[in-house]
Amino acid sequence: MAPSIPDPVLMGLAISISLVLLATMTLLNRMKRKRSDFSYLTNAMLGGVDIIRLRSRTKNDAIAELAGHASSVLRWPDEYTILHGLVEREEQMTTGLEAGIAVPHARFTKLGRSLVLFARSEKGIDWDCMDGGLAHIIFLILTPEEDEKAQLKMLAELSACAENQECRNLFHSATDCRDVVAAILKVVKTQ
Amino acid sequence: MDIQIDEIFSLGLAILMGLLAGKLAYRLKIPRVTGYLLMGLLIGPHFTGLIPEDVVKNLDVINDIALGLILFAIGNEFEWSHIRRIGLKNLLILAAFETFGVLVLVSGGFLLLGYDLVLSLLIGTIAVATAPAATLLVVREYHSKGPLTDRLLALVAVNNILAMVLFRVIYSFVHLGNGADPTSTMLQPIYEVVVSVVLGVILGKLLSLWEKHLDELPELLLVIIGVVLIGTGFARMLHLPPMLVAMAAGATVANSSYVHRLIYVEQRQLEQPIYIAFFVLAGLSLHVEMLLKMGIAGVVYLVARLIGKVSGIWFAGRYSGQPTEVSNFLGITLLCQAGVAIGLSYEVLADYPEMGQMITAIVLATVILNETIGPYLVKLGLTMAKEIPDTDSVDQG
Repeated sequence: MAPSIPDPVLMGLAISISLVLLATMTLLNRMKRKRSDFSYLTNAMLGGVDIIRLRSRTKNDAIAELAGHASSVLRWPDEYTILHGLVEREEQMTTGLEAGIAVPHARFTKLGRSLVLFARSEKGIDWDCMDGGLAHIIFLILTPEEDEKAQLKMLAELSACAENQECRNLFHSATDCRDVVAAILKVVKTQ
Repeated sequence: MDIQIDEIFSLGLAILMGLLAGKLAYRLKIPRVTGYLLMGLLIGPHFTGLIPEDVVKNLDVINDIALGLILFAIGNEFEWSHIRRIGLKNLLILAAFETFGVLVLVSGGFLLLGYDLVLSLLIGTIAVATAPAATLLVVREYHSKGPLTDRLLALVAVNNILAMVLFRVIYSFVHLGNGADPTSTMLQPIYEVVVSVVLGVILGKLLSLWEKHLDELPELLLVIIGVVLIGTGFARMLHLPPMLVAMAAGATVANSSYVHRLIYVEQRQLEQPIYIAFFVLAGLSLHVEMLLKMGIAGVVYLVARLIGKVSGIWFAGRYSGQPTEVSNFLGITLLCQAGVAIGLSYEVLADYPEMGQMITAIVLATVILNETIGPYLVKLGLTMAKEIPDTDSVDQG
């Protein structure tokens, strides 16, 4: 094709439309967030379960350890099914993020309610994180197969928390799950 | 009564026959992509004629959607933390050596065959391009993981950008030689790159915002398709390369939030029918008769490109201290070639028919081999680098 730079007016118009769309989305996004003080993530965290201190040193062992914890508080699925689901998801692509956070997750049929467990590893686990570092903070997220929305919302909330330096620090220093819940709620509310 | 083959019928046939070919390929332990392409070739206008040529042209929208999705996924590989882990410098060294190797050997080969300098250089830059679609699908099919896989997809993206930019630069001299306006000729490549990236970033930001408010997974696929189509449409209206817009959007989303990384993987299977149709349709467009007319120029192109890619990567790997498997096997995983090369050669054909005919003849003939054998070589490279898990838990789709 011979060189042809289109009319600057058309280009300007195209870019302006995109910018207006972007601004509208941002505005709607902020308005929605200000109204929201409900967290899918904290709603699925069990009040009675304390921070799990992982002893495992490898990713597979840690997933198995977490599956064991989850099955002890759920009637269904059993430990093996949870383990299988988590490993299958992990094989598709690692759930290790940056700054020492990993989010193993899976959906299961007949799971009565969503479950989120918070675990920490003092020495760190090689979770194939994006930045090549070790995972110290692990959120296990199990949701019902039929409830895609719950999983999507939880991952979005957790992503926002992982992107927030203050929240990450609170995850590291939390003495019990109430601190973790407070840190998450702070991010969800103030965003 | 004369019955015309309908487009929708052809699309259905392409998906079903592609699915069967994929299953057969799986049994034969060859990449499914090769199966889809060969099936397309079999039922296409240049072999059995089950689907005629005019129908193929009417199904271009499927190509645009699929290619947009693929380039968007390739853009996702440009997650900054991922690039930092590989090393941006290392990536650029690999790309530079590979490009240099291909350019020198292919262009040199054509100069020795008696082609003029500009034509040889244009063919050399086209040879640099690597088909992202086939490469990505092989990586996904075999769930490969490791240092070679880490570098492969990012390198494919850099490769194509370099091929396009170098092509533009050399092509601008062709325009200048034919009396084009120097200012607009020189500004064209800069305009294309800058505006494409800006457009891609805006679309990527929009998508990233939307992703945080999804209620169900299929919504994500629709949003991505919507963004990709808007990007492609804008690119066409503004005379930009759609490829760069989709890649920039993919890179922006990947760097905007962790959400994309966590949920994108979950909806990949929904894209499968689009990819099957894409590759069968690509097979329909393969000009098998060109293979017979390929001649010595085609052989030079294939051999020089192969040696250029493999040796370029080997030297770059040694120079930058890459793992041995990267130096030894990354080169043969970069040989797939299709859309970008064909697109560039058609561009020359439209502007300068005489020069274009020579280039398209070589590209169309060699694409048949690069696109059918290339995916197998990707698998071979990944296997030799031991990056395909033994269990090979490949989905049966």
